[in-house]
Amino acid sequence: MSQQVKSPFTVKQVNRRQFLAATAKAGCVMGLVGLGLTATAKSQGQLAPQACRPPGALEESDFLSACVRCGLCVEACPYDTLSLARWFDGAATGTPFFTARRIPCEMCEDIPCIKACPSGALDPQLEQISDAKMGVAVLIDEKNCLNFKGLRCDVCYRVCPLIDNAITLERQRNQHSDHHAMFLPTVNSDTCTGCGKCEHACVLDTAAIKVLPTALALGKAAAHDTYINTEETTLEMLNKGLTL
Amino acid sequence: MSISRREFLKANAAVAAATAVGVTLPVKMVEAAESDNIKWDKAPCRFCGVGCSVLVGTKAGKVVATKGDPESPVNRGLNCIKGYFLSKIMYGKDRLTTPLLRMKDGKYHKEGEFTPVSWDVAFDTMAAKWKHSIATKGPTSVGMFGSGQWTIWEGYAASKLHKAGFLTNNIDPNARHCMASAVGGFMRTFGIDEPMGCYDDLEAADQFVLWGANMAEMHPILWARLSDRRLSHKDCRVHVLSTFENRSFDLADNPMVFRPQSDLVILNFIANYIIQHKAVNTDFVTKHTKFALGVDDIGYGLRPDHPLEKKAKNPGNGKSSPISFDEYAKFVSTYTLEYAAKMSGVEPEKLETLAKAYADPNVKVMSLWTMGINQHVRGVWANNMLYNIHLLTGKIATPGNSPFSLTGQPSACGTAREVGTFAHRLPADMEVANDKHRAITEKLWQVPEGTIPPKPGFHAVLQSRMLKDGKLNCYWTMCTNNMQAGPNINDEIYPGFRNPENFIVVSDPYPTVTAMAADLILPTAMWVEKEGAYGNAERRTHMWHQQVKAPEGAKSDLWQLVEFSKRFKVSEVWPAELIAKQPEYADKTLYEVLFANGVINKFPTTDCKGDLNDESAHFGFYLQKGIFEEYAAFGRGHGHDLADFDRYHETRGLRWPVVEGKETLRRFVEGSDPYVKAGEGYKFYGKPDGKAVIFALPYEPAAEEPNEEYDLWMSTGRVLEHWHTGSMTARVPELYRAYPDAQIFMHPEDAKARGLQRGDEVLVASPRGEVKTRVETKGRNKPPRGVVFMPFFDARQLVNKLILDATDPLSKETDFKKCPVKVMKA
Amino acid sequence: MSQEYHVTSLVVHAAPNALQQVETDIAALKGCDIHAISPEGKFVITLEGNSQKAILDNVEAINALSGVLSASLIYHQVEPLEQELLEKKSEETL
Repeated sequence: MSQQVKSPFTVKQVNRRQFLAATAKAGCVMGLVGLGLTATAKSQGQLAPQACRPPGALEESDFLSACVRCGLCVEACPYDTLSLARWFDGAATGTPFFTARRIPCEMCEDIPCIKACPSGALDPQLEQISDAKMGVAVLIDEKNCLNFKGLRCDVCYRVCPLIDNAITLERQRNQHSDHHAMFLPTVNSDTCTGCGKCEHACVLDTAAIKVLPTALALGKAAAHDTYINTEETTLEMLNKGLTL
Repeated sequence: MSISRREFLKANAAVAAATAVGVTLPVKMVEAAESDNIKWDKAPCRFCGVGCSVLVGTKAGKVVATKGDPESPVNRGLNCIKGYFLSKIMYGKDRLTTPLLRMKDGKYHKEGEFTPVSWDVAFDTMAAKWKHSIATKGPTSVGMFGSGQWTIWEGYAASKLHKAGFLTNNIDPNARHCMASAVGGFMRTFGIDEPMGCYDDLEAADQFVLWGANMAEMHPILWARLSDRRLSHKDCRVHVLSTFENRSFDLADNPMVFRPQSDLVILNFIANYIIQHKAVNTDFVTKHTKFALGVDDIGYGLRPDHPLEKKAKNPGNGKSSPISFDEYAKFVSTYTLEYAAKMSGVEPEKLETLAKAYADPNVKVMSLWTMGINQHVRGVWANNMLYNIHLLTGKIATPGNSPFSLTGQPSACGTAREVGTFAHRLPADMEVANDKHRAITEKLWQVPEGTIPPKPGFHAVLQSRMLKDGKLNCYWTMCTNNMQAGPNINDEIYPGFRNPENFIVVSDPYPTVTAMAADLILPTAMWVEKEGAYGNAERRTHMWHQQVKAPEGAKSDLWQLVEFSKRFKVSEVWPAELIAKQPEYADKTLYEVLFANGVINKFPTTDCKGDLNDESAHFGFYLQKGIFEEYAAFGRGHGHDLADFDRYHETRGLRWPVVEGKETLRRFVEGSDPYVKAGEGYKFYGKPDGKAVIFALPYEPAAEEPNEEYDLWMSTGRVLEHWHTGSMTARVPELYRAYPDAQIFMHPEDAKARGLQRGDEVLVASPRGEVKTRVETKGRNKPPRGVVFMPFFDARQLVNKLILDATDPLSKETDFKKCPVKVMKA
Repeated sequence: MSQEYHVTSLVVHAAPNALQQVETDIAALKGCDIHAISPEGKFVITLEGNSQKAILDNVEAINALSGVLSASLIYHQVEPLEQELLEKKSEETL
């Protein structure tokens, strides 16, 4: 609740609660009820950005039509990562999802959730869990990320099952201290599976790194864009029919 | 509500609005809001040996914030994630606030339930046990296990209470598990403890060599400095040696994973390479070094009846005999590149690249090492052999040329080593076995000649054995958690704690595994709840004031030690012959003889510039300053000079020796070290002839190697997120979430061969026990086939049950890095 | 009922041609302080009072001033006047 009515100006302050309880009370209550209703209505059609689908889930609209809401994948999950959406959960009611900040995907090698899926909503062709695409981690808040302040946290990096691949630490000189390096966590969206271990482990009150649905997280180049491996692309290669 | 409070609230409101529109307010207004009634002071970080300084914010009697101290030359305002969460370590929900004694029917009982008692009952019970034990079984039946996380005065008070009060040398710090081999190396090669160089070498070296030190996780802020050098200095190269690929390999230009124990071969190969390639700095070697052949086949520090000890020709023998350079050259000549590559499994090109770095006179090399070298059945040798390389090339004690032994704990140097809390040591590198050293100490302590026993006491591992055997009966551990951190828990530690003949006391802020196995638990004040002093890895002594009060009922280790001494009359613990030498002591208490002795109680409480000092308020004098002054007298003028007491509170620490107000960056070299005279160039004044020793020492195998049943080498160690056994950091929710459970890191092929997949529950077993954990085949550590790694921070997975209590026979430090185990599906 | 101390801050945006008038008018209100005025005509203001109502009255008064384009509440805090309750802030770091 407090999130919904927070002042747009975040200033670290001693005590904001009376403010909520006082002036804005009536208005906020109305606003909340309104918001709640909208959210419910929306959740039936659209996946909330913080809700991730299990590994191998088809593209959202295909997934919704394929998923029979049986809950077998949820049962098969050994880490209680998956749950079935109920009202207000941010996913179509009865469909499986997980919230990385609560319990992330542990990336089981045998992918029991896919094995359990009777409908193909979780694609049985996904055999290597490291090929999964549940989303993409994005270091969304560089301002509050401790490593961007020069501290040695890098917890998100060390919990990454694909460390040095899906997340790397890019070293940079720390101009402030002048004799320390900074280690900037950098996500490689090609290899990140969206398991959410990084978001789960982030030590901040609200994670600075978050797993987002791929469609939301990634940009998409225009059709004319041939700037792929520009440095290595030769005329010969192009004329041979290089796929862009 | 006061006017100032009202002003403050108004300032807050105004700043909030101004921030929203990006308007600048008058400075006064901003200051009023920022102050937020938080009072700031400084302190060294509570955790590792790096010794970062932090600013500590307190409000309403609690630490509410910490941040990196911009004025600290070590960390310049930065912290690692443990330091970032320092403000939370004191406020775990299960903080102990009352002594707990095992009782049945209102009385102490070994099998009783922990029952809250007063400090009086606790100390009365303890004192009765101690007195009875000393009277019936002699002073060697009592002892203490202390800590490299003690403050300097706590270590000093504990050591004095035992060596001059209870007349036993049975006191040893947990630094025995950590730095004892480094100490042994220093004493053997240089005759004086601790590194000659300092952290400034990180900004001066061309190449770095990490020997069994995962600095990326264990010394995070120093790693940031080393990385910065790698980024900013064009020719900088980093060599990393370890038995498995760890986080430090990320920066390695020359990564080397070697077979466990073969580091000894690589070290001798480098010495041989330097000689073969005519890279010996002959002038330096002739003037400042000499050569010696060490005794070999020295055993494994196990119980004497262990087959490995019986097999050894010279168990525990650290002697050596002088040899010539040519004899040394011949000794190492068999350590060829081919042999080193074969033994270590490292590609010859990589070994040669490494050797070249040392051999090239134009390359400044800094070697850094910690537990891989120290927790090693030949740890002292390995330290000696590292110095060999730097001495042969003369790459020592000048900027960037630096063999640097890193420490694990915040005051392993300051407290355990400099104060001399080891079973064989006295302050300022002196030893109990040396008649002169005892005489000097007895004089400064104002106790009769013959007070300090000449025989070294039980070291850490021996204490556990003696408890089990019923020879050590009253045992007090402070500021450490040996039931989780010590080796061979099931066979050698737990039995001694629960031996019905023994009475075990554990002082700790939290109910650790060790505390739960004790008979009496004493609730303890920690970190800035007391005034303190730590000494970090680069000889930097750093102090802090008490900044908050401990929870009601919890008392500092210093208070506990000094208050406990009041319960003993000299006549109750000293033999008549000794009292006869100073009969006026007979009716005095140990407190009066040891602490209210005219030196320690010389300074009034008003000398304390901090707001709080509970110990001084209780005892009526500035206890910490008094102890510091008595202690400093040992080192001043003897190469261990400390500055004036107050300066340590004003600065972010100073590196000893501090002579005429000036700290010393590099020892043993003219121009930097005031103890080296003009014209001498170098002088290794720890040795009477001023010469450092280059030791001819061979490769000898580990105590146990993998066999058909126990087919994997296991190493244990730390992780960045947690401090040692997690008793503090696991109580910080964010750090707990960042690394909640230990895992065993394993090569994917090794897992597959055992029918295991990532995340499976497994049993890890050695002949001494088993633990249940989960397999990790990905992630931060990537062991080669045949090696596994498991951290020891997790109190629910006591991995040290599996470790054999084999030690370096010279340093008595356990090898926690080479334990053969098997891994099975649970 | 115990006495309370309320403090609120606002950003008031005034029309450029009415800056001086608005400044004078706001300064005249009881318990009202102007801390800064930005070049674009934004005022940083705090209101103090002993009740919710006192604050709201002032907010209304400011809104009613001619030349005021908008007024946004930024911050509000209440504390009992009798005893100062110390905040438990052990959770906070940095």
